[in-house]
Amino acid sequence: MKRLLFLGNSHLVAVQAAWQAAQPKGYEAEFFGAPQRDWARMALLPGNLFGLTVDGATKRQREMTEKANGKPAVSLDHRDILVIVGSFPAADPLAILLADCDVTGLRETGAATLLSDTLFAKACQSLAEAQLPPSGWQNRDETVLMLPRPAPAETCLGSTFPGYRAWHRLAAAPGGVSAAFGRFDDGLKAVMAECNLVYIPQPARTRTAIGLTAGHLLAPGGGIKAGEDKKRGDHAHMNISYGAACIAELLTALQES
Amino acid sequence: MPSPYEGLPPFAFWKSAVQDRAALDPGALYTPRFPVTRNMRIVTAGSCFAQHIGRELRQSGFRVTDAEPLPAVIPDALAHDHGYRLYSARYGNIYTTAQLLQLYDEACGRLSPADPVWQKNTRFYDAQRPGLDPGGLATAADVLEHRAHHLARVKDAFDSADLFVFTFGLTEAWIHKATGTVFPTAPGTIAGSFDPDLYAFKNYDMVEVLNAFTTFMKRLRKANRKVRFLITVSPVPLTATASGQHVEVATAYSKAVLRAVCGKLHADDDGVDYFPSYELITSTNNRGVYFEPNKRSVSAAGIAQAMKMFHGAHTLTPRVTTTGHDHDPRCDDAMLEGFAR
Repeated sequence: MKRLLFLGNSHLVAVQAAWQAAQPKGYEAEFFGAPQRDWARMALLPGNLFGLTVDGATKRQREMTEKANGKPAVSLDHRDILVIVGSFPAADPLAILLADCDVTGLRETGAATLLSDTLFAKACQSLAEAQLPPSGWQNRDETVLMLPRPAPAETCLGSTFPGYRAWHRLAAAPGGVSAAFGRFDDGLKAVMAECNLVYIPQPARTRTAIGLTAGHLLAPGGGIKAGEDKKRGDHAHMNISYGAACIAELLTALQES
Repeated sequence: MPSPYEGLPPFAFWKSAVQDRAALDPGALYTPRFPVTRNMRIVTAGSCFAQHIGRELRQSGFRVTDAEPLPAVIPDALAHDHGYRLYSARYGNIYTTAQLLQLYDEACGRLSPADPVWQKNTRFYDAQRPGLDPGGLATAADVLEHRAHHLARVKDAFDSADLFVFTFGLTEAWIHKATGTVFPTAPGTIAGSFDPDLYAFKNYDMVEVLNAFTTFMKRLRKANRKVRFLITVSPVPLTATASGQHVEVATAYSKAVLRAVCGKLHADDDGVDYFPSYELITSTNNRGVYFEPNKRSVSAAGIAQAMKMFHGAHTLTPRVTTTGHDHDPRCDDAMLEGFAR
């Protein structure tokens, strides 16, 4: 029996629901999570714990964390596998880069900036390194799996909110985007592997040609609401089907590791 | 008749303007000829000192053109290593007016520089900006593709500028003998190889520097009638000279020529203003404190003082405090220090 501990922000919800529905055999899992604003106040703590930092968290955050998890911090002792869910964006920074830049031999859209293949590789490396978790998560004895935050759902293309500008640009000029994401994911996998982390890319079957998450995977309540197409909206949180796709990838990675 | 010096303002006399001035007080060195405003589209170019000016203008809320932008997700260090976010397009340092004219002529399709691609081992470099792709590109065709893209961006940027800020840096350069094509670095320094039958050292004189810049202004104004010019002289001494003279003597010659050209341009053309950053940084009133310990690089305090003078003269309040920061300008000529014994 392998002992898993899932840690994550609000994106943990879809994965947790899917795991509990599937009940994979041979694993014993525990979940510990918090919304991003609280998750951002969490860190590795003395005593091999993970939870809210004493100095950084408010009383309300401690109460909310205890309510959701039954405790303010979780022990990492006696775990075989740690799974960190949703703590890094993976897709968005690359989308921003590709929205404004062409890449020799990969993407030609008439953008103002043309990157050499070499610089694109360095840029991907830089973006990947920026997504590494704090050093305490690196080179641990447990297997540490890293699941990214999903790319926004394709429903975001119905929003004029400026935060989705890059994705609008990719939708209008999709050439080379898919290949670019493939190269980026390979690079991110390599960067994380150097720190003894296992990167689980967002499952390919959950993504559209330009890298957004397929609209049918959006969690209930998300998408564009009537009269709110200028707002950010919720195009970020996915449903149990998305979680199931992630679990399938995760189990495959565990079998291979 | 009284003496023509009678009644002149205090700044006209060394004693009142310099000798009696408090140490590090920049004085009233700069009286703008025309206002520089935040809605002007500004293009910057020149020697590596110009990187400071461009960055400070941008941080101060001026509309400095970036014709080849990189999104903010790319860190400055990586961007700067590849020539991004240094100037209004990715041309790198333009040390001589001959190089500036050549660049614009090339962007307008008037000429094709000789020997456009340099090689080092199995990699290929743009001879007009060899330091901007560390490690080079895979093929000569890649270099030419990137150059064509760059030139289109240069033309757009220059032709749409309201204010063209240029820092005169050097008189010394290396040229292709047969065609006069000028290079920003000596062949063989970053890439390529030096062949004395093909290349020659050139130390431009005042007439040549002046003619190149006036020709550039004339040609740019044909495409862009509204453009005005703000010119400066880099206070940064030469890293090395190939003139055969002592580097200090060569520096004095170079700066004297460039300063004289700027004076002539300013005197002859109402569309040209001169910003005295050279005088501010090198003033004996500053006791050399605006230079780093190498007595060559301008210190953060010097840059901040220059920008303070600029803002003050244009009655502008900096939107972001000019930090002086630890920015390390990308100077191709710094590589020459590697040849010092």
